[in-house]
Amino acid sequence: MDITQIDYIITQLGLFLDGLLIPFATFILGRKLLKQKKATGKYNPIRVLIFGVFFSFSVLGIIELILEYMPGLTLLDEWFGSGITNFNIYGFLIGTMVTFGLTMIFFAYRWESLQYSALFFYGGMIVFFFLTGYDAWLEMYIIITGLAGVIFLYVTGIRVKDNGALGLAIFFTIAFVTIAIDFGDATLNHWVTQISILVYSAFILVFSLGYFRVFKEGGK
Amino acid sequence: MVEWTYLVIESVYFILGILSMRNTLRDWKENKNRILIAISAYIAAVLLRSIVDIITYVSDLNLDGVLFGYITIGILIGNILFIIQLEFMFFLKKLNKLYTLPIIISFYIIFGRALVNSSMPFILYAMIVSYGSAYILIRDGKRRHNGLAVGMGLFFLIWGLGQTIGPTTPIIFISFRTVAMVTLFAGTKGFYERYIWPDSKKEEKIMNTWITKLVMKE
Repeated sequence: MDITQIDYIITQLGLFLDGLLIPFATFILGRKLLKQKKATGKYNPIRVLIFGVFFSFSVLGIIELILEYMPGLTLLDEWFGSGITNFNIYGFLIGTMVTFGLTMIFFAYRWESLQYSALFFYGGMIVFFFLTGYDAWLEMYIIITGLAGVIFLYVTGIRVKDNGALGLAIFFTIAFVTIAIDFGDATLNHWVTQISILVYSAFILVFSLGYFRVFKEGGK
Repeated sequence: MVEWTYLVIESVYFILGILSMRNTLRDWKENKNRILIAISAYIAAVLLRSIVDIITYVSDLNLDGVLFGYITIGILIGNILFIIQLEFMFFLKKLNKLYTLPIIISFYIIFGRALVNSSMPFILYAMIVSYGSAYILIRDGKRRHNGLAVGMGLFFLIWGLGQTIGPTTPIIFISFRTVAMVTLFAGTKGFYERYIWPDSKKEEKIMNTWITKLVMKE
């Protein structure tokens, strides 16, 4: 088996993991969310936000899988885009994920007046884009919010011993490598991305099934 | 050349504003109610805009010039006023979770104005903020016989009407806002309690209870 074949297999595996495994993990998280709602009578905002992050990621994975196996869908392909520099479906979903991540921090720390601020800001950015077509700040927003989110998620996870926050921090760290970091070499970028997909997919499965329990008394 | 008509109307507006602020600060000294400080801060911000206008009418200096893009000082101060106004309303209604919303909306309106030469978003925002605030304050004020709330509500309503009807016709705009300031001044002076609702002492007690209830933290 030569390197091209290995590359092909890993790429296909990554696509299937993103398009099938992550939606499955999201489904499990959704069920847990509804179960808790039934038991307590109200939604836990942190769980809703975690579900939101995974749901956005699922949509991303499904569309990528569809586009890979149905190359004729030119309109979807065009709308989907491939980077975070513009407001396409890809950029929108990544932006939604980092926004939910930051909102989760504000909820975890109970900073009441900031709780919806990331949602307001991102919502405003979307409305602004539809009115003016301006989206030059999307990439900067995703990088800054994503980094802030990851740092705070680590701090929150460790400080309040919350498995959910720590799990998301690890997931974001791995996913962020594929989205934001450019190693300056196309082949290296490709390999890092493919390996990252395999790693975070495996991690998501462990996380969603409830086996990620670094802290025994922690939340998740 | 000095524009005397505008200057006289603007001066009346400014003096009434100063007197209203003096009334609210005097009341604050008596009962130490934080809401009165918030109202004073709002009036001070309104008067800041008035100073810019007075300088414009007296001299040829155009302080309402373009800062960058299509942003003028007027748009900037207008947005600051709406931030204070909305924050004030959220403070009254205890909507702590919405405190960042006015700042974010104003940020986008100002940024949008830098790119596109259109007053529409600002006018729409002004209408929503003014009429929404006016409705809530007049309704609550009438229900609880609170003259200050009604005065502020009428101020927002008439000010908003002026902003909607004559944003490009200064005489309409400044006339409306002077009438608006008269209604606010009447509110701070206890006019409504004294002449519209009888038994002023009883009403004053109700007003104090209303304000206390509004600012009382759980």
